[in-house]
Amino acid sequence: MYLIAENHSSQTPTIEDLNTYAIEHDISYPLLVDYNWQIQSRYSEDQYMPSLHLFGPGPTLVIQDEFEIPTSEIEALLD
Amino acid sequence: MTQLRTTTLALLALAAAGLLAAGCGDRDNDGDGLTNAEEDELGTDPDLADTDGDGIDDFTEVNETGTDPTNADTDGDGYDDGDEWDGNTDPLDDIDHPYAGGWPIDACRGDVQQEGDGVGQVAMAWSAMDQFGENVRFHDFCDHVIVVLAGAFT
Repeated sequence: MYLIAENHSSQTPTIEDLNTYAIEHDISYPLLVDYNWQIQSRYSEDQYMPSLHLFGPGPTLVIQDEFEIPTSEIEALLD
Repeated sequence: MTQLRTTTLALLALAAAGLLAAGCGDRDNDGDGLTNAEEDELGTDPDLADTDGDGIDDFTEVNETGTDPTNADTDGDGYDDGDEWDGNTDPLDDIDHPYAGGWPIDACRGDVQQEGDGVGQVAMAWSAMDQFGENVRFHDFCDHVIVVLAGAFT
């Protein structure tokens, strides 16, 4: 999932913004509007980007607020 | 004597016809588990296992899913009953339907025991609007491994 808090104009993205971006990048997974960073602020006090969170089944938070997530961590959850 | 034979033959013919008629009702032409007589009563096609073509056979619609075997989209939400059944959504609830992006929704979403937003905890519920204009509920994907990336267009 990709949480988007701001569009190119630093405004909350519209559905059209998201749709255009999804088509341009061939994205079918959820591309979501994060109004005023409300969702991101659940997992991080900062707003540096990118910020990644990994959830296993549950959904249980496994890795929180990292700049990158090793592929091995994702594969371990998929096994 | 001739008249007796004729009468006997006629009676035999009538009995055979009756037996045949009874046999047709008990038969199951399409092998879906419903007899032809039951299909006649339900208004389904006795020669077609899945009358409405929604991907669920008539027997299952009548006995398991509770959906209408003559209507591919029982709740009228625009998604066929078979797609809803496969996607773990309720084909009898027009609010509940598969995710537009094609990702399967998990059956566990109604049973999530949320704990908090820290590492090791079952995450709290949230929802957000997506690129299809749908309100996505995070817990709909409770059995998936999910990477959430927060960012902005640059």
